[in-house]
Amino acid sequence: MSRVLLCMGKQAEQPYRIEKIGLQAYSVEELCFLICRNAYLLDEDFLDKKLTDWLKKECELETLAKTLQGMLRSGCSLADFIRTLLWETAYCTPEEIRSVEELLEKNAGLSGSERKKVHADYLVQNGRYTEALREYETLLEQLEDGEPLCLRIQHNMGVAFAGMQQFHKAAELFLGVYEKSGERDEIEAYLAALRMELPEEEYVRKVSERPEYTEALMELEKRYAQARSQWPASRTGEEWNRIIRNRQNGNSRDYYENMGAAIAGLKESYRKNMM
Amino acid sequence: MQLEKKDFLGKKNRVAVGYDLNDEYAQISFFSSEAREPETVSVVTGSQLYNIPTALCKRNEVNQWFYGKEALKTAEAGEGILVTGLLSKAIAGEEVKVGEESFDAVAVLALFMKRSLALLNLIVHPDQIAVFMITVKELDQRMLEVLSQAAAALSLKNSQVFFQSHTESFYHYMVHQPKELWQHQAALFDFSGSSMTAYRLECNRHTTPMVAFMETGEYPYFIRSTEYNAEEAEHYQEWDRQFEQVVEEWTQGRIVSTAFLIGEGFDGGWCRESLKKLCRNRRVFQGNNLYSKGACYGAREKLSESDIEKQYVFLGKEKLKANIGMRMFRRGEEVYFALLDAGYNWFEVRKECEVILESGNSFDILVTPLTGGNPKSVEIVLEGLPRRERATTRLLLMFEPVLENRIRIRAEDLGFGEIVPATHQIWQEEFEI
Repeated sequence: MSRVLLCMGKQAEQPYRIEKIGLQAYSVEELCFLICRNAYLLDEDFLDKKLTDWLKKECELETLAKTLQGMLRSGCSLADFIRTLLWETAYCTPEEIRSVEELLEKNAGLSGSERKKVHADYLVQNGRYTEALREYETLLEQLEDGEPLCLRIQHNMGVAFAGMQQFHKAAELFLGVYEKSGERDEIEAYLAALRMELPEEEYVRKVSERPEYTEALMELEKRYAQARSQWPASRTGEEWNRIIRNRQNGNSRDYYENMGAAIAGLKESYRKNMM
Repeated sequence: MQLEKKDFLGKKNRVAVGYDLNDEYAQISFFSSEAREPETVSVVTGSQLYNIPTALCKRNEVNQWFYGKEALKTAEAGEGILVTGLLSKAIAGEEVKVGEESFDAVAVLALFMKRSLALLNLIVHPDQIAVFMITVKELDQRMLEVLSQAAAALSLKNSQVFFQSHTESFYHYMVHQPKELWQHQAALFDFSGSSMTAYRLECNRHTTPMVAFMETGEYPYFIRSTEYNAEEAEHYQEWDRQFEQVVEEWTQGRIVSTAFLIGEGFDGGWCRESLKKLCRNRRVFQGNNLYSKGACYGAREKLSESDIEKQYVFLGKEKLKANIGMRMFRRGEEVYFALLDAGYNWFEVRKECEVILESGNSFDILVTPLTGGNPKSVEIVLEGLPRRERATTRLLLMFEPVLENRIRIRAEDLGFGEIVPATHQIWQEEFEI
């Protein structure tokens, strides 16, 4: 049985348009939904009396409108305003609200492009690589060549491609960023992508052609060995080991069942990330 | 929806009207804001003759209609065609034939009601009527339809017209009597129709609010086809014996502190012995305007709940006997959201609300009976509702009783604005309470 939320106020005849997002809300719940999903795009322009008027007249939420109007008059921050709106309405979960609060605190003072990058980064962190890459590409088209933000975007695109296991593209991007920035971390990222892409023999041959990468290579191998030794104790490692133990114990049925489920989960996750 | 409560007592010259209606007679009582109790309209000024015969007579060859006693007189003199049984004919949806012409029965009933109200209009201007309560023996869907249609023709605003059964009129009447009269149970023997009906009102005073119940019984043995005829002594003696048994049945093993005898069927003094039994250790009243007065009290309650009635809830046949609600989250807190409350007439309430389904395609309705019995959950499943992101399904829910023990729920998918287009798919289900 599902939880049921009682709607606050009524559905508006005239929607409220959030310009920065480019979408409209017909109820306070839709407004909260849009805020939660697009908080990275909001700035002080959102603090508009038209919003509180809309809540009062269209949604018949007089008390909420009065509270928010008072906050506007006293010059509140965007974060405080949105925090009040979200908690009073309680449409979003507490976790979602806290996530929005953190994002707003972090984004205070960012430019429009930076906010969009933050959103794309958020997508990468949540495994939504294809969407992230689309946003990064749009951003790159809008930015001037040579802007510092471009390199950070290109690096993150490399991370996205790596997440999609397109290590060749990832390696190209990391190398390109290194050649422009000279940042050592970029070389490590490049080498890591190469290591994942190439068979060992080819990898060894390729890196030996560039002795200037030796230091970075040693650092990478150290981290790789450490990650490898820590993996069995991780949650994923334990799960896989449990499945393997089934086979070792002769419990074929459970082994194939659990393995099948794990693979299906990976496939599902991959497909989702590719959308 | 319930009528918005207004301060009836605060408005001067406003009147509540009770209209008792059956196939034999109609009766009109009224209750002005200044009065302490209702008054009944006499058909003969200064008398205590309250019954208006439910009859119309169309004068021969002209379009002139008489009502009540005049209708009977005109027909007796051979000057017109009498029409009786107006309520039954309207319920049956018959056509009323008067000579060569046919009339819709509901329209004929409405005509009678309108004409009979002329008696009230001598005392009270129609504009003074704040609320109009029609009381009949029993209310069912057909009766409600007929009375609503007839009432619409009375030029009263719909929101002022209400309906209640005789049992409820009895209840409202008793609640406004001195407490000692119904400290225990109260009985009513109604012999105004062609047979006898008995009622017993009892109250559970251990709850808050106190819950009042009514038991009823029909006694078709007492068939009254003519007026009292003293020559049929043996017949009435048998009635007396039978009625004594009825009294025994309704009072044995209980404390019935008051009894009422109403209706012309008790005329002639035939119930000598049974009356002796009935009067033992209790007060007995004979009268015939109890229902119309009770209707007045009921009408007044629609506008302004009296302190007395706030203490009681009446669970008559037409009342919802269970609270219907849902557990919901309102501004983050889980609450019980009342949808339909027990104690209201099933035909007078409905509830609409908009909710958001957080996930899945089902939700529970809580049914809490007031008459004992365990609370239960009724699961409503919206088959075919598309799977969507969390909390992006807005539903319009409508709850409407279709009978006193049956609720219809209608759910409509409103989507979620531009984010999720509405399908406007509708699910409808009925459940028993």
